[in-house]
Amino acid sequence: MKVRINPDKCTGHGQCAANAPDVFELDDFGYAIPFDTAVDPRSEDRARLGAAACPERAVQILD
Amino acid sequence: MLNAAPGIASGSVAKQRGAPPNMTNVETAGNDLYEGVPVVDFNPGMESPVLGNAQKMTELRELGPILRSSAAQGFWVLTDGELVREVLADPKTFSSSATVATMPDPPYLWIPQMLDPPEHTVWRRLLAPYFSPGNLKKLDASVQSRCNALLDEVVKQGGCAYRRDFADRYPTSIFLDMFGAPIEELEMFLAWERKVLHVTLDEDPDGSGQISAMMEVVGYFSELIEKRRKDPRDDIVSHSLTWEIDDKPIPTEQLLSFCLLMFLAGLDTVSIQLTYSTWHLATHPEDRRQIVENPDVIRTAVEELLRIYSFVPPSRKVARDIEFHGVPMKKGDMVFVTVSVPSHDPRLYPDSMRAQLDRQPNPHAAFGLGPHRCVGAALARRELVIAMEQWHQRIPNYRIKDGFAPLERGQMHGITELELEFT
Repeated sequence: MKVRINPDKCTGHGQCAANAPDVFELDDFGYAIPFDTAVDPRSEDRARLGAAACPERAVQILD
Repeated sequence: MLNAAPGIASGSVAKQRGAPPNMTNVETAGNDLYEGVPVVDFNPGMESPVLGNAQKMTELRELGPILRSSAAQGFWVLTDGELVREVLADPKTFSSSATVATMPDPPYLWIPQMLDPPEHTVWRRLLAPYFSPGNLKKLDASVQSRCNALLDEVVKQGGCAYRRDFADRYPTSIFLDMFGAPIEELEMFLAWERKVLHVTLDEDPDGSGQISAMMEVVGYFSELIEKRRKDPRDDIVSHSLTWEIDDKPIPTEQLLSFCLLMFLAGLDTVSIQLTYSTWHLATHPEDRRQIVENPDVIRTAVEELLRIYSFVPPSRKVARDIEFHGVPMKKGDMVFVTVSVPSHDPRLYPDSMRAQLDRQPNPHAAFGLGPHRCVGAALARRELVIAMEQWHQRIPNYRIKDGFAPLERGQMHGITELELEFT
C-alpha cells in the first residue's frame, strides 16, 4: 500500500498524523510531508484511518 | 489614548451583535424567489436554546442548498456541506476581505483572517511554526499547570459558573503566557473580553463600550510591543518584531491588527467549545460516565464534541461575477457560511446530532476548511483534551443547577453561562 498526499489540498489539520503517527509525518509548519515508500503492512489500517480523518480529503490510499 | 486604532476604524462594530431577542430567527418570506432560489428572513446568531442555531441550519437545508436571506443588506446562505467546502477552498472567487455576512464593508482589518492569498500565505508561514503540533509539546507543561491551578479554586466551591470561573480564564491564561503578557493582567483581559465579546445591546446600546475596550486592547499591545522592542523575550510579541515580509519588518499597525485578531479568535473560541462540551456531558450522563471510566476515549470525544457543536461562521465575499451551481452571484455579494453545515452533513454523518464519543474517522469541519483553517487548531485541541482529563479526574459528577436554562447567542454562537453544581 502507498499513500498520496496532495500538497495543494493539505492545509495542515494534522489529523493524518494524529490518527497514524507511525505513517504520517508533519513538517515544522504542521503540514503533512509527502512520501513515496510503501506503508508497513502492520500500519495499513491506521494509514486508512489517517486518510479518512483528513477534513480536506488530501490523502489518497493507493492499494 | 491612541491616534491610530488598527483593526477598528469607526463605530459600526456593534452592528455585528445579534438582533434583539424575541424576533423570529427564520421565516420564509412567503414563496418569494430571488434569482431562482427561496428567500428566507434568516438572521444568524439569534438567542436560542442550546443547538438552536445548528437546528436552524438543518431546517433551512430542507428549502434548498442555496438560499437568499433578506436580513441586513441581503446575503446568500449555503446549507449543503459540499458547497461550503467548495467556497472555503476557493479564495480567488470567495474572498475573506469580509467574513461577517451582515457586514460587507467592515471598517476594521483582522490579520490574517481577512487577508487573501498571497498576503495571507506569507502570514501563515510566519505563524504556523508556533502552533504546530511539534512546537506545542514545549507548551504542554504550562497548559497543564494553568488548568490545574484554576481547578484548585473551582473544586473548593462545590459548584461554579463554568464560563466565568473556568472556561474564560483557562485559554486566556495560556494566551498571556504565549504572548508574553504577565499573568497578573488576567483580570484586565477578562474585563476586555466581556466588553468586546459578551455585552448585550441593552448594556452597550451604541457599541461605544465595545469600541473603547478594543482600543484599550490595541493600546495595551502597542505598549507591550515597545517594551519588547527594548527588551526582547521568548514570546510571540518579541518574535513578531523580527518577522519580515518582502524583506522588510512588519509595520507596527499590522502587528497590532494581528494581536487584536489573536485576542478575538483565540480566547472566546476555546471557552465556547469547552462550555458546549461540558453542557453536553452534564446533560448526557452516559457519555460522562464513559469519559470518567475510560479517559482514553477523551481524544476522540473531543473531536466528536467539536463536530456536533461546530459554531464558527467564516462567511465570504464574492470577488467576481460568477454562476455558482446555477445561481448568479455578483461581485460584492456576501455568502453566509457556517462550519456546522459540513460537520452535520447527513451524507457523512447519517445520525448527525447523536454523539458517538469513539467515532473514527471524524473529518469534521469545526476548525474550518481551506487555507484559512484555524491556525490555532492544534493548541485548541490540546487545551480541550487537558481540560477534559483534569476536570473529570477531579470533578467526575456534576449537573446543571436546577432551574437554570442555558442559552446560546452571537453569530459565533456560544452558551453565555452554565451554572453547575457538583454532586
